[in-house]
Amino acid sequence: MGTFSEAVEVVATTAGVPLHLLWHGRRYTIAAEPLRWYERRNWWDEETRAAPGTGAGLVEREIWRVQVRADNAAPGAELLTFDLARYVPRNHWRIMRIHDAAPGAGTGEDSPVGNGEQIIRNSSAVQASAGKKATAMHSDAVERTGRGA
Amino acid sequence: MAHNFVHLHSTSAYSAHYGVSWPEDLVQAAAADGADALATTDRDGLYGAVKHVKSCMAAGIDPILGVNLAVLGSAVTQTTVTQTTVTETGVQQSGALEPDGVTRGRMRTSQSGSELLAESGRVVILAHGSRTLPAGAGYAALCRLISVAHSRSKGPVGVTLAQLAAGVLDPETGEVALTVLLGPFSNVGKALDGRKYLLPRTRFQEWVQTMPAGTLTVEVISHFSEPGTALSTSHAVRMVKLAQEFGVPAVLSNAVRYCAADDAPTADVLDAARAISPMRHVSNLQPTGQSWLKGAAQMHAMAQEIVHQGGLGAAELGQLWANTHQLADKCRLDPGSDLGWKKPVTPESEVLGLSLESGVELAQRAEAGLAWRFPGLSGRRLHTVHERLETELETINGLGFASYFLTVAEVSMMIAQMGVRRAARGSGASSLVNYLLGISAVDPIANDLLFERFLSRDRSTLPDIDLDVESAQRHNVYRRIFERFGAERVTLMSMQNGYRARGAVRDAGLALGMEAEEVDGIAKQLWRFSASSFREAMAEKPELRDFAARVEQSRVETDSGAEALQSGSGAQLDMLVDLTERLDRLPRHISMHPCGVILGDSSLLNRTPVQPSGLGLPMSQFDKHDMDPMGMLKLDVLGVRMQSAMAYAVREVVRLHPSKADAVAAGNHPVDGHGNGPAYVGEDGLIDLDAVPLDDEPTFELIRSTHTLGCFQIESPGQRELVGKMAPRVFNDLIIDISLFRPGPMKSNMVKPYLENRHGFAPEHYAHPDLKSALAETHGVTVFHEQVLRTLHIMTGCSLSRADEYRRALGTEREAVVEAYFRVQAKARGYENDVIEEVWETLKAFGSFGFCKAHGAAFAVPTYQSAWLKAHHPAEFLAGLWEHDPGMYPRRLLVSEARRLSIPILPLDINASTGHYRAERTISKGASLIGIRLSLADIYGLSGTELKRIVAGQPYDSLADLRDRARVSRPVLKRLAQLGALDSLQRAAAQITANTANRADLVAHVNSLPASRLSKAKQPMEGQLHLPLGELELGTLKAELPAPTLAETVRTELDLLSLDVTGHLMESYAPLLERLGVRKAKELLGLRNNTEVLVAGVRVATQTPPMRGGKRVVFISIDDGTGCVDATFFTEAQERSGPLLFGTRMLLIRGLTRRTGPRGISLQALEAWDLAQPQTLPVLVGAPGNRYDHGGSQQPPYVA
Repeated sequence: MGTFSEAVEVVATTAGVPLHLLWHGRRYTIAAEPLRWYERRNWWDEETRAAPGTGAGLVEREIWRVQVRADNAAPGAELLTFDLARYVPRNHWRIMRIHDAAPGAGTGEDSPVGNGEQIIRNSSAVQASAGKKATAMHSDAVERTGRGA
Repeated sequence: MAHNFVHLHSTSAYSAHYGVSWPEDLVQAAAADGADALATTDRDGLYGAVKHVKSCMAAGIDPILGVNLAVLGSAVTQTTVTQTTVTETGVQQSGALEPDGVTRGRMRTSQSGSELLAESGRVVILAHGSRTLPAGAGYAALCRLISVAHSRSKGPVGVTLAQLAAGVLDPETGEVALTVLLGPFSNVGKALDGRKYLLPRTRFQEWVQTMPAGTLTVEVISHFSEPGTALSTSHAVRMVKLAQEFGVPAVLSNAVRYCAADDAPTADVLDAARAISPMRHVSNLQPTGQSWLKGAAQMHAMAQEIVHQGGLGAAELGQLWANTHQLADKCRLDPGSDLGWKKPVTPESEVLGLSLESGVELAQRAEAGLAWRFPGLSGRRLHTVHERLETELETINGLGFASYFLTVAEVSMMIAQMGVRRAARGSGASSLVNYLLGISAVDPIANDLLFERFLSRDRSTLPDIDLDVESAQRHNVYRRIFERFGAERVTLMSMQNGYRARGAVRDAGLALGMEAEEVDGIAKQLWRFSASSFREAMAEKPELRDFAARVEQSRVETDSGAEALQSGSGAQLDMLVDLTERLDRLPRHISMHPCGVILGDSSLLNRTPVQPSGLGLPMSQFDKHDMDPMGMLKLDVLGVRMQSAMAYAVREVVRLHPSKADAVAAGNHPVDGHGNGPAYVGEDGLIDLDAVPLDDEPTFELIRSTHTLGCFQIESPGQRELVGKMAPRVFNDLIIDISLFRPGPMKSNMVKPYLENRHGFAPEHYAHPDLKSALAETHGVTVFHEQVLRTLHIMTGCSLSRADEYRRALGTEREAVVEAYFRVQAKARGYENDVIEEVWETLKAFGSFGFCKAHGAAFAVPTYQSAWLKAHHPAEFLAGLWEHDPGMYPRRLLVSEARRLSIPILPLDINASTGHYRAERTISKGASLIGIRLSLADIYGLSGTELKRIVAGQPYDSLADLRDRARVSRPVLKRLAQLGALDSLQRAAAQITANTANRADLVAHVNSLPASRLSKAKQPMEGQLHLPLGELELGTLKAELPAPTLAETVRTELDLLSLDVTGHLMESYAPLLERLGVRKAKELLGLRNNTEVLVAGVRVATQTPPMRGGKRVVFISIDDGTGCVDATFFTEAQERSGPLLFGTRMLLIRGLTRRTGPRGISLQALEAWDLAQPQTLPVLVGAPGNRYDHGGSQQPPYVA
């Protein structure tokens, strides 16, 4: 379940918006407005319980695409783009993807995010399905999840 | 800044397999957040609308009603259609967005005329309230539009754009009555989720051009799915911008499917159940879990995010917010003026044929009934009747229900004129007016029934008057009602079918992708508890012990990481339990209610949407709980199989005995001094069951014998035990018996003291002498609702109608109020504390469960009539039971009963059997008897048309004759041969040729016949006679096979007929049973009480009646060919028998005999085994008697 992506410590605002990342002993600060969405989880495979009252956050995970700069980096250094997943209710964060170049704001209307995205870790089931999704995002398809399971 | 927010798009659980939350929960959540209105917009109908309105009224917020409908367009290309038929799953999906365009082929298509329709998208349609329209006009338009959406005989439910455009205006004023929300699920929204520019605009243009001005609104939703995909914020931004471009107002919503984020997984499970596919294969599950009922602050944040991402400003944000609330205001409904809340509506007086005001008419008709029902009554008794009539009429007219009674009387009379048996059931029998109008057949004065229990000024709900009719005639009765009152005034009522434990576990298992067999095995162990208490049940119920252990085991494995995350493995069992609990009670589908017919005036179809029922007649989307709020008059016309069985038996009697003398002799009916039979037997032999006096001694003798299999209400094991103990002597005893066998009396332990007092074992006890008048008929024990009313009346001085209100409060949260009132008033009237204490304990225990005496009286009539038929015309009665199968037992048990009664069962015969179970004269052992000829109708695989052809062509003189004229398929011919239906042909042929071939040879021969039918050209011409070669064919069969053994024949009969006719199923176990020393059912009565025995047999019934103390008791009846053994399993025996309790067919039971009465004996079970698993049976050491030892290896040790 939790072993495929990488845990990361995130400092967030009270509203839940990430501010800093603590990763591999370095601190990174958010340098652009982050983008948030949710994506499905195959919870029936990943979990063993779904008792009434414990269902929040079961079907989806919260994803934040953040652009950060290392705190001690030289000014003007290139931004790093991470996709972070936040898990409720325990409120822990994992890095799902790291992009090698800034994908732009990602909010432009007809420019789906994911252009230029490159997955650098691809050794697990979670990553594999994320990989499929990356492909799907380039097509016009809507059905995005669970398809290849 | 966010104040309150009104959700305009919200689905309740009544959107079957889609919505998750109950209306009251949604309303409470909205109200708690400060909303002052909430819409419910169920898919395809107003299924949850009335409950929603009720909840809104309770919460003090305004209801808004709408519907989520599919919009149909023509399916584009022919290729699409072909593809669709291949990929069609038969399931309509719209929970998530359809992929754009039709080439994916997931759409439903249909042929409508020559036009092929497919769902292009879904929209929400809201009804406008009376702020802008004449009252009710918006709601009426909504009802009619939904009915239109369901009016296609085939294909998807939905409306075309043209139908929608026509339906949104009020036909009277031409004003806009409905608003259409074009959201992300519409064809416009679906075109916007990609990067297409033109397609969404073309589609929007079509909407704008087609729909009348002012009826369109754009619905903006973000479920925060991945940017760029459907239901993402960027999708919402495009919707806002498109709305601006076309100058159409946009509103904000969240397309709510559930109350809280916690419910999101349930929605996934429902999507899977709807798709009949595991979740991992459902392609369009909700993209996120965001469709919960968000509060105003969250909705405002959503709006801000949309506006921000779209680069818009505060003005646009304010506009979006304001539009939403302006539309909400337009759609607020007033339950009273818009929906006619609680205002009863009955058919117009001209339809009822009334010339006078309804109250006057009712009084006149009731008066006229006096002479018919009470001929020659005078003096004080007549005065009593008159007084009662006046009171009833006063109440009825005071409530304005006169036309209701006249309507019911009209229907009742109509049924009588159809020649169909009918009987009023329920508390309606309490009313003298009903008796006088011919609606009820029970004299409420003679039987001491209280009108106040039925109707009073203290309660303004329409009373229930229920009519039982012959089940086989029910549909004809419905059609006649539609004809009589007009299709615009009548519709059938529907019912919601919710998930119970078994269905829930099956669908949860399906959603998880578990093996169907495994899930089925688990489902079979679930026995009558609600799915929500699955985990609790696992801890408590012995039959779930094994399953609980497996769950525990899987948890250990998961924790140790052994098999974690392996789908399909035991790891899912815990999840299965959780999901099953989540599905508890959620509606699965609606269906025709078994008896409810709604009658109204010509505005009925403006007040309820209708859709086709299985019967073809229109059915309302409202269920019984919606009737009273909507002021709808519901008539229960219930099909009762027993009525059909009795009508059939009466027809069989007259067919075999077509004169009065014959019928009287056959039934051994009493004759007078001149040898004339009783008046209830007609000159033609036709028996008028309703005229049979209620004091026939042979009938009561039969009831006391406890051989009441097949008798209405008293055939269950528990009832057989009770009638055995009670030994009824008069009709009132039957009323008491039926009323005692109910949850209330059972729980509050009324049965034992009643029986002890009745038999004089214990002195009758009254808490106070004043109560004697109320309780004497049941020897001091409170049995009836009527007695509770009288007790309250006597001790507090309240009126009987008030007393009924207090009775209804017992067992509810209002009970404390009643208790306080009772104690104070009774004390004030001088009753001692201990008296008050004792009486209150009785009342409290009685709860609201007891039985209304009027119900008991109404039930006792068919009980008595069926016992009367069984006592006097047993063969005809059994034929009726066989034909209509009214009872709780399988038909095969009737074979045993017929054997016990020495009624011959005549085998299937191609020339003598018909499509019915017929009584038939036969000679057995030199005596002329009436037997029962088996029917061809229940042969496995025999179609209705084949049956018709066979019967039409009878008789046949040869196999060839049968083949040619009846044209039965070869498999059916083979089955006929296997079942011996062709034996008579074979015998006839053998008589001529002295052939010695047997049935096995015949079956082999039939099997060898060419399978294919003759082509049309080669078929013999109509009228052409086959060559008379039949004798040759059957007369020259090779005799080479051994005749089938008895066991084989029985197996065949069970397989093909579900009956074991030739021998009993248990006979093949005879050697084993003998070794074990198993007793026969018929021997038990001769044993002493408390003898330990082993019995064995086929399970015929399982019941878990409610018991005192809430402990579950399981009754299992088994049949061993000599009769039934009723075994009672208390807790300990349930523990010992575990999983065998509910799943096993052939049982061996160890138990102690228990005398239940002079003629009754039952078994207190100690332990049970599965006969089909010989290795688990206790092994016999000594013989015979009760000495066993445990010799097996793995089975639980047997301790004698």
